[in-house]
Amino acid sequence: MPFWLVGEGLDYQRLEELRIATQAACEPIHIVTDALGLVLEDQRGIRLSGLDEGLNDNIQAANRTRTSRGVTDQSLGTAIDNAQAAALAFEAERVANPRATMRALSDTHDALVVAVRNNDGEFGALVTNLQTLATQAQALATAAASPTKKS
Amino acid sequence: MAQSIANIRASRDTALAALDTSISVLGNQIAQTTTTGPYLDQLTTRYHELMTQRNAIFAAATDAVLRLPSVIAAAATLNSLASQMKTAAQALPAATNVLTGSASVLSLGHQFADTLATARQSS
Repeated sequence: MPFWLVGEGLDYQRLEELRIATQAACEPIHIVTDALGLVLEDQRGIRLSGLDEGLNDNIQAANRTRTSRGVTDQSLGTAIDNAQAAALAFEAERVANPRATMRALSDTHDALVVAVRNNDGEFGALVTNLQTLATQAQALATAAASPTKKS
Repeated sequence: MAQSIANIRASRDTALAALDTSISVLGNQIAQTTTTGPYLDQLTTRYHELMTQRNAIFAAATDAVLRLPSVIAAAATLNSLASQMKTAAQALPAATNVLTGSASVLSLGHQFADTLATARQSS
């Protein structure tokens, strides 16, 4: 058997493995990413609850400092800085969109299925995108699982 | 009617919508109150109660989605596919990065299981 024919056979086998596996993964990927999106939204919601409580405490402290007798510029400045830091922490969490990340992961997988089926050479890049998105999802999960501190 | 992810999300969001309005009103009231005393204590207690309820709604939604048979089956399928891909990549003498990369992506089912375990511990 000529060498090039062996090579072609292996390439075909690889492509078939990829085609079968990515196609079979379509439905479970859709379900898992949807479910994971909801779980991450829940974790984000719980973190926002904690950050909201911290923000309220800090705003109230600033208001109390502002109206107290003998308030100094320094104490009022510190109270305002604390409230601002709490607001920034809340906002950073609020704008995170785990559901969109999970949807992007699902959509990229769909694109991979098409690329493998068409054998257009695009699937290498799509697998890299998928890995990036999966890493982002994992990072969101890790962040969501870390304890919320009241600032 | 069988529960679905969409149903769980919709029920959760309906429950949260009513609660969030009250939390927002109370939070603003607390932030604007500059004198300590029984009134502020009452507001704060109520606010914390509502926050606890809010967190319980999130935890209930997570629990419900994790128990869905379709979700459990999907995670198991992805794990199985990831193993198959890994085996295929090892069997082929010059396995490409694409093949091994795909296996790592399909192991999302495994990552998912870890995430869920972590979510359960922290809730």
